[in-house]
This record gives sequence, structure tokens and C-alpha cells, in this order.
Amino acid sequence: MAIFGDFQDHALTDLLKVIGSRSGALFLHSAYHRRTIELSVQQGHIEAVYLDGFPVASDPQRHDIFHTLVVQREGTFEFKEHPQPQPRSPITTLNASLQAVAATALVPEEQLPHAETVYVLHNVQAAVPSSLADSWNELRPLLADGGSARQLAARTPHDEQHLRWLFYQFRASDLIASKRTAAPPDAAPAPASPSPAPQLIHRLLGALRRFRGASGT
Amino acid sequence: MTVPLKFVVAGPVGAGKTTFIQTVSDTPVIATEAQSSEDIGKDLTTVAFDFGTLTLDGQLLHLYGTPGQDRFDFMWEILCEGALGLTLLVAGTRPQDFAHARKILEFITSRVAVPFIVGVTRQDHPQVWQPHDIAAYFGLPPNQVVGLNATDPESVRTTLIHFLEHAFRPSAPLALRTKE
Repeated sequence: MAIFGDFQDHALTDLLKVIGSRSGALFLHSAYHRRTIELSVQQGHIEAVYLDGFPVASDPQRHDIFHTLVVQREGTFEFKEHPQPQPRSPITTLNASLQAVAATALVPEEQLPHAETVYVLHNVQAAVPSSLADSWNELRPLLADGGSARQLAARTPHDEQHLRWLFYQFRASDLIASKRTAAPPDAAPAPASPSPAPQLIHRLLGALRRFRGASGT
Repeated sequence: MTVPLKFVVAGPVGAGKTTFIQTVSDTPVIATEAQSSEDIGKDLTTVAFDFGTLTLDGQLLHLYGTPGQDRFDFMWEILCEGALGLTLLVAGTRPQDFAHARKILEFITSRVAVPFIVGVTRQDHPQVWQPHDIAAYFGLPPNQVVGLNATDPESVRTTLIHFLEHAFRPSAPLALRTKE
């Protein structure tokens, strides 16, 4: 398994989604004033922070580290999974602290969602970062049937760019997801077109498998 | 004469779209490339779309490879309308492109009802993101993301087989099947 890359290209919240429920160490090399941060992750929860190998115990310093990581996004990252996860502390988790900091960060333009991507409500039970609460309460009803940043810019006081940023943050918090297979809400109904017949799919699969068989696989 | 089916290959620049089509096409691929004006790791980039064909048991497939840059986003939706399916490719050695790949996939699939899978290329490289990690990044079920080597005909055909098996199995959610 290889999870690696440049930190400028990825949000920490996205990396934690990839790590999921695994345990290990997420190294952020040269990410904090050219020093290395290690996030100890147990079953998906950040339980400890290390700076050049030394534990960071104070909340203010951890907050400063998270803030710097989220704002400056420097250095490279790699995740090393523990072959045998340790039991995790039921109390310690720093994910919410990180989420709160990340919810206020600027996001590079190229990482923002497309203005015409339609989003819908996803996990409405997910925790809403306090900095996003007002915006979420305002926009949640408008997203019940789906909406894009461009559409909501016409219906709210927010401009399209700010809505794209909000959608990025809502998605990072698992509150919304893109609406798969939906036609744009304001489009005329698409003309019906038939699904491929099962026999056709069977023929296509058969032909592809014969190719594979002929090549000896 | 059967009506040709359309299959679209999309993804960021350098993901292997043109290679994917060239590898499996029965006919010489019409590749509309030009000198890149940006540093994208290669000299040429697709500026319209690539076109190839594949005939399977008498059924003609038209293979379309989309350009990767955002300024061609109008083409992504047009090409995917009425398509049999979509493969979104992302290079497993280029994590810097994952955000853009997600942007493309979310845009297309939120506007066009097209079955799709994600293909993670360059699986022959020693340090490469694995399909299940890409699935987590995209928020997709693991069986909707596959690894492949776009230069290997066998690997590309296996990807097409996986797409058909996944998208058109009888128990597939309606969202994964084409419009009825």
C-alpha cells in the first residue's frame, strides 16, 4: 500500500478519509516550519501529535500545528500503516480539532468543485464545524433537492466562488456529496433512451473474454 | 447494421486516456493533439478528443477520449450523453491530480446519467496509489475502482470487462445503469 504525495495537493481531511479506520502514522515531512509532524492514527482517530519525534502535549501548540498545516500546506506526506493496530483510547481524538481548523482554510482554485456540479445532502448526522454552522443552516434546505454553486448563487446573497468554497468544506465534513446520475434540475427532461439489452451486454462480455482466452490469460 | 455504442474515457491530463484507447482500438486512433503550453510532463496534449473503434461480436463501439483541461468541460458532458459508459482514469503515481479527477467525475456524473468506473493507471510502477485507497478518496465502493496498465491490451480489456460486469449486473443499483 502506498499513500504519498505533496501536501499542497491534498487536504488533511481528505487524507483522513483515505486512511479510514486504519491505524498507523501519517508523516508530514517539512510541513511545520520545515520540521516533521507525525500524526498517530488509531482506527481513523488522531490520538497524538509528534514534532520531530517528540510528543506535543499542549492544546495551544497542537492548534498552532494544525493551523499551520492547513494554511501553509507545505512538504510531503506518507502514511505507514501499523501491521497490528493498538487498542485506541476511547477518549482521545483530535479529529474534531483538526476539522474545526480546516473548516476555515482557504482552498486553491484548482481544488474547488466545478461551479456546475450538483450536490445533495449526504450524512446529515455528521458534525458541523462551528464556523460553518450558519452557512449550513441557510443552505441545507436548498440542497434537499440538489443544487450547484451556480444555481445557488442566483438564489442566495452568496457569490459563486464563495459557494464553491462552502461546498468544498461541506463535502470535507461529509455533509454533502455530488448527485450522481442526476440531470440538471433546471434542464428539460432528457428523452428516454433504452438500456442496452442484457443479450448485448452478454455478447460484449463474451467477446472480451474470448480475447483474454486467446491471449492465454 | 447495428447502431454504434459510445464509450468515453475521461480524466486529468497525463492519466493515460489516449494510451488506453490506442491500446485497444481496432483502427488507428484519431488523436487530436497539440504542443502543450504548460508543463504537464509531456510534450503533447489532447485538444479536442481522441477517437478509436472496437468491434465486439459484431457490435461497434466508438471510443472517445476527452481532453483533460477544465476549459474543455463543455465537451465532457456532451460526449457522455447517451454513452454506454464512462471510465475515469487517474494515474496512481500522480496524487497531485486526484483533486482534479474528482472534480471531473463529480461534474459529469452529477449532470449525466452514465454508468462508470474509475481506473487507476500505472499499476506497474513500484510506488503507486492502490485502487482501494483511490476509492476511499473518491467516496466510492471499492469494486467501482480498478487498477490497470493502459499500455497492456489485456489489462485494458479486463477493465472493460469489469465495467460491464459491475454496471450491468442484474442487482446493480439503478444509479449505475443507463437510463431506462
